[in-house]
Amino acid sequence: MYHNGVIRMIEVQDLSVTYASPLGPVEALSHVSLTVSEGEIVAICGPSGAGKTTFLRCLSMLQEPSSGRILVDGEEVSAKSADVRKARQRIGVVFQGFNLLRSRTALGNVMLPLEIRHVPKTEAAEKAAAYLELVHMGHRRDFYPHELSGGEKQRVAIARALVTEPRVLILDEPTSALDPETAGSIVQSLREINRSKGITMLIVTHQIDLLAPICDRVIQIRHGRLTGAPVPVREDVSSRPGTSFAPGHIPASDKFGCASVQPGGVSRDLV
Amino acid sequence: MTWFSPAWFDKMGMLLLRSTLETLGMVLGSLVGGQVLGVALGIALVLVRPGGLKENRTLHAVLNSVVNVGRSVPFVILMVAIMPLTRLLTGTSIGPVAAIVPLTVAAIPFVARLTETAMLEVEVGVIEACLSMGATWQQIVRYVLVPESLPSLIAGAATTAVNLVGYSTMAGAIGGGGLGDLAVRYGYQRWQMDVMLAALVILVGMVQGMQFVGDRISARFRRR
Repeated sequence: MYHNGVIRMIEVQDLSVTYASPLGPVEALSHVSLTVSEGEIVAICGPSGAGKTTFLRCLSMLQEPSSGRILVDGEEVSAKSADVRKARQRIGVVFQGFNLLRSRTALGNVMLPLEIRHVPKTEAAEKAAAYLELVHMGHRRDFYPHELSGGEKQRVAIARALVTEPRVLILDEPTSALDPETAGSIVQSLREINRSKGITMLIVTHQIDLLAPICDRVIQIRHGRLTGAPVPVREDVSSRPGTSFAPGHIPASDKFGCASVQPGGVSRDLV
Repeated sequence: MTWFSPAWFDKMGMLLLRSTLETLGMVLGSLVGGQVLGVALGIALVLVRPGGLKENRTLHAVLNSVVNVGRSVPFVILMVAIMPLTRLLTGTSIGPVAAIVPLTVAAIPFVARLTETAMLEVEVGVIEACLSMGATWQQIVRYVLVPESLPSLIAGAATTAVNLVGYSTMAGAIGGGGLGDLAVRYGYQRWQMDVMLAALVILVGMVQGMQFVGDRISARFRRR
């Protein structure tokens, strides 16, 4: 899991997913490999049907790949692995539709992952309240999801994914249901959380313009294949938590110039 | 004697009250039993269905058939058919207490189907979110399926209660007692339309009241 002193937080090795269809097998993901260092923010973008969701479902262990393997923090994660529940607890997932429980308040929703882990109620409530503060939702803790705006629901969903202190946060289209202004503030919050907690983030999006400013790498997915920088371009990201990170000094066109990346090669010249 | 005059109430009041309480007892008793067992069966149906959290096609086919068969047996026949069970559980096969047994048995598959429908309405995404948090299927039932479908389950309980009022009147036919029994004995057999009318009015009020209470409680939990 160590590579030049950098922790490889996510390693996807030769992942393929094939669906059976009336017209024969359909390959949703084809021999996908990807490595993400600790503390990196990586965006995966691509058109609908390119395999983005399938990729995330494999990572969050909601779907079993046809072949290949995924390692998170050096340990294999798989929907079929012996202790799938334990493996799942190392990854926080923020879903596209927020997926909050209607029957619970904002606080109750954030407490849920802790209750699932049998954390005592008072301790869970304290911790959940702290995470709601982190996403600037402390004043909405007793509101039900139907009383919250889209952006507020997204913040609650992020707090819920973070409350168990996962090493990796996976976000599925975190801005697609939001207006540009709200999306911008969510993106800023993600960056703050990445900096303060050093959490590795993998973001699937089709609105790359909104997310590019905070991403270390952008990877394209098309027809089930990845193009772009499949291995970290920044070797110093793991030391970043707490330190300042100024993406502004790198022209976006250079930083995310997928065309200049040789498949399989480490493109240090991009940094 | 004038219908519904004070003198009439002196004579018939106790009879009507007694029958009303018998009906309420039968309905509430079987509602509790039917809900407990029916919700459990409904949860089982949701869990073992194809694509469910504890998929088991064989068990699903069996439970599904049990529910369908249970729902297609006419209540009058069901009452007679399960008399041995009724006698085993209550020591008798006549009277309001005995009638609770067939009423409960009739309610179970109905409640199971309503529960299944209500729980299938819970968004798959919410269940997947909890799975991704590492929840067990028991935790999904406890934290997601039951609380998220609670408003629909309560509305279903009101529907069930109303159906049970209807069924309980049939129980009168085998000596179950209650308002149905009263209406049949006085109204149909003795042509005493006043008693039949009074029983009918109470039944209508009972159904209205149950539906009203059910709607209110359901609305209190519905958050959308």
